[in-house]
Amino acid sequence: MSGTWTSRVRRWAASASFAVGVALLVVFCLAPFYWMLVSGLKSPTAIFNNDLLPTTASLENFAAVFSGRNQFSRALLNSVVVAGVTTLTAMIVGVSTAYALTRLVFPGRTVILALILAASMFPGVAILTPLYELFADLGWINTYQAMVVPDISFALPLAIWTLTAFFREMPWELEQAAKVDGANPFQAFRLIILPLAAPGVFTTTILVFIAAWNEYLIASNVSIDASTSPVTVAIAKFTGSSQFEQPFGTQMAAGVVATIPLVIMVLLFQRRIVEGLTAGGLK
Amino acid sequence: MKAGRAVLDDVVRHPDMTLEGAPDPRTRTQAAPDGARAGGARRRPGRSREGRFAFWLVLPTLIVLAGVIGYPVVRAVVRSLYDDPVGRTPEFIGLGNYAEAVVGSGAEDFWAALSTTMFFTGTTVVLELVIGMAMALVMNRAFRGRSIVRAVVLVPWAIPTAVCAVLWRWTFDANGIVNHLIGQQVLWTGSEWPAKWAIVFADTWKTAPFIALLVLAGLQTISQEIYEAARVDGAGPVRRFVSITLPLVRPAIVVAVLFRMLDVLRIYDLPQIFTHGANDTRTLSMLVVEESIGNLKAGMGSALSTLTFLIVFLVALVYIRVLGARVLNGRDGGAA
Amino acid sequence: MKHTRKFAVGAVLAAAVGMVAGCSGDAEQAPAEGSEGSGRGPITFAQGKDTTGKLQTVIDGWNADHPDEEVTFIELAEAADEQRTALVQDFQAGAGTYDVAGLDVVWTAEFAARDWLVPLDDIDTTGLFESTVDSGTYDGTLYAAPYNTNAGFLYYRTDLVETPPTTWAELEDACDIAVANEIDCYAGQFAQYEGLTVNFSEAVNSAGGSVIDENGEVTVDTPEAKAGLQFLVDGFESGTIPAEAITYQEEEGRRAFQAGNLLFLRNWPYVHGLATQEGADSVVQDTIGIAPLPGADGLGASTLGGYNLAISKASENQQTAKDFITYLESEEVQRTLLTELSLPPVRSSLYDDAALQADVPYLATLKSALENAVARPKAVAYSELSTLISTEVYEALQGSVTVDEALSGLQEDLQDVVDAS
Repeated sequence: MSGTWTSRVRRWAASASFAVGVALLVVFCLAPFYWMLVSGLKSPTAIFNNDLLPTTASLENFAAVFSGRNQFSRALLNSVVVAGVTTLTAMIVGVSTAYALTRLVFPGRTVILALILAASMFPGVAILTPLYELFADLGWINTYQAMVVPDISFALPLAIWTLTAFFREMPWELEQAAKVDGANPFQAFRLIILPLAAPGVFTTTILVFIAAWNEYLIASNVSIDASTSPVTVAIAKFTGSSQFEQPFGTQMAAGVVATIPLVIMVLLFQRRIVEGLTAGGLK
Repeated sequence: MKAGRAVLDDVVRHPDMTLEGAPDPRTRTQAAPDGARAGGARRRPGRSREGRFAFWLVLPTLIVLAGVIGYPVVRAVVRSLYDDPVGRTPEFIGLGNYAEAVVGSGAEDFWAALSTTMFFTGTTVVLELVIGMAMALVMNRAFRGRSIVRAVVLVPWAIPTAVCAVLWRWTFDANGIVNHLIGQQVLWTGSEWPAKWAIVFADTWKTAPFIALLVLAGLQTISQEIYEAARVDGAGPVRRFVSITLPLVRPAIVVAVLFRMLDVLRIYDLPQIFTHGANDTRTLSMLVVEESIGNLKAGMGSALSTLTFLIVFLVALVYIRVLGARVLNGRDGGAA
Repeated sequence: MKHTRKFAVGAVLAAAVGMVAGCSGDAEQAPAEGSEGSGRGPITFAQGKDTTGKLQTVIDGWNADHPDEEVTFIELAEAADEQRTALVQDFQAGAGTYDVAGLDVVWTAEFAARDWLVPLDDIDTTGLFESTVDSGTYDGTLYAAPYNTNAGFLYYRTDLVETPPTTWAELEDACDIAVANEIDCYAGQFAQYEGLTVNFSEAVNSAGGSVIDENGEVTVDTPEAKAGLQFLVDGFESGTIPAEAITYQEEEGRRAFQAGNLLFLRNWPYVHGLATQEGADSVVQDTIGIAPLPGADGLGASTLGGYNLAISKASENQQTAKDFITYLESEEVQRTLLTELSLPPVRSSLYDDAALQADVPYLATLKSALENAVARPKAVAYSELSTLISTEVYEALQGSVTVDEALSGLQEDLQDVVDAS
């Protein structure tokens, strides 16, 4: 009798503490973002109060973000193009490289993995100067490729190392069995490894996309007008009405506007990406 | 597909995959390379074809990285061997800039920046790992609204870095919301330790989700059968976590932490916008920017970049040697 | 297998080395050939973003008259640091993306000494404030033509203070009013950044000293400089300057003043416009007063701010660029800068214009501030000097070093940099 009682209490305590865990997690992640939203909702002139609710909610800052002068919608489109092309290319290249490095036998893999990792060890600004010169020579200033190509190379080390970690854990027996059944290496990979590693591939895709979406240093130097500027560059160009005024509310509103589509895209695409990866697979 | 599923079922039912093998998953992964090696040895000609195939798969990566990273890095290293004159062509001075930075007039700044950078790295990575793990474990439980929570976790990571730094500057303002909530006026950007911890907190908040998402992905690739087998065998939750979960997500953790280290060792935006490097919060990357863009000393800036690179490389090397040796190992087992 | 590996590694190296060999010929920072770029044709004009959109109208005015020499406006980031990054990248590479660029006044010497700018001696500067012309001159040659200028004010509360203080002693006395009203007394920009260099220079100049004198000698270890820094350090110690001001840049001070928490504030003219703006969240909307900065024994001297216009050596159409600069300095455009963009013009006659004076209440005060304004040191290594200054002064304000220690250390450090360059 008392046994079932204690186990019931224990089960209740477990689910209660789990609920607390979820709540803590959500508050931790969203509280600063909430403050960002509230700050964006305050009137641009009402900047010095700590009211937790925007007492006089004003959409002025959000309107300012999308006002013609800022060309923010264009910037959103540019970001989608740059981050989208970057992610697609980096994932195709990264998946094939990671596959080769984990599932195929050839010498020099450790050296190659190390070289790839070393590519994300140099301070960005040191890469900027020679790259700017190169792109200026190529006539790439103010083009998408001047952002996409560096973004791909920034994304590849992360993508390859993450994918490598996931691919390596996949059971060899399955792949061998598929090959015995007459599948070529590509089919074995497509039908066995990719579906099993889907969570890893999906997460990598998201991380790469966000990294490309948020790249600023290169973009701010190579994209000089609204036709190519991504969101990060557009936000940095928000100004107040004079040199020293910092348009804090508008910047916060822009931060919200730059973040929300990203999260919605992930929500919408997560099922699709996972389905795509596991389609025809085993899971 | 039928054949594939049968194979999977086979593996699941395979003695190795049940409790005997489960508490030490390494036996599973170690067994594979051996088998593979044996298989490879049997089919020499096949391996050579495989090598060529692998070469073509790896080539695009190497070309892109050589062009976009390799070329600028070599340029920077070459530049670091020249001085920074005003009004004449730079002259070759060998390692002069390096000597100047490490033991010369720049030494004080360099070592201070190095120790600040190391402080940020040590604190943020540990905090992010603990918080990220906790987030991942919570998200890995099946519950209603899990995909929403996963999107919520993404929010800090998704906010553009510069906007995030401005947000924290505002939040930690002398009259900002943090002081309002704690009911006293701490000058967060005005003295050393408040500034450092505020930066650590802001960075942890922003990037713990990065670790959480990778660890979560690792957790999701663990097959439930292993847990069930362990549970049947009477292994408690702690035992299951230590013997199954940790070893199996280790590769994901190792890579997540590695890339966090690489990033935070080059941290720039947050301390730059938050304090401009005041109160001993100047990091190595800030020093690089200060020399190359501020002081217009491309040679010294390049030397500091190269030093930063060497330090990052060293940290990564030690880390991989100590914690993640297996990460670099290929199918052959040993390092190539 | 062996050869595959060699080939793979070889390919990477070949790619990397090949690119270096191919491109390292055009040695770093090679001054771009400037002489052949004296032609006419379309150009670009880069400066920080203009939210009003009025600058585009100004440029459209030029384009209407010069269809073959069209100017494209490129808006740079809001932060001065980032504007500098963009310009440095382009000038260093000799790429010529930016033909005409807006330069912070303190960048002139740094950029001109590196041979990135075209001499502008043929540009007519009559009628412009002498101090602004001087700020664009390096080594006796004009490299950056005055565009807009700036000077600091002492803002005060007209409801609490009858006559604004003209000396530091008067300011300190007036702080009793702040105590009586339970608000803070005085603040400027005291966080560690360029603004602190500005505030420190102002304090030193207002005590009759200088940071670097007209002969290029470092003069911070002098009684005058000490008096200047002492004023700020004493302020923090006595509480005349609130402790939180150690975190202030321009905006923090403006917010405190607009919230009614501050009796006196040193800041730029922009505060006036925002604090009196209709609907502004400002308790000082009708009670904001402007006065020249006080000094040690009489009125002080402001530090000169503002932007100048320079032409990149890599520009292909330098003649057009010069004509365009002349256009931006014309009385008509300068007037628009003031009325539409709230930028203080560099043409001194505009300050005496009765119509403008009626529109812009601080114009007369600004004129006298500009006439007394002192430029920051003109140095090839300005940024390095400024970083040293703000770092050392910040420590003195925090009380971790004494005024004497700070300034004798600073004297040595600055001298080292000046000697080296």
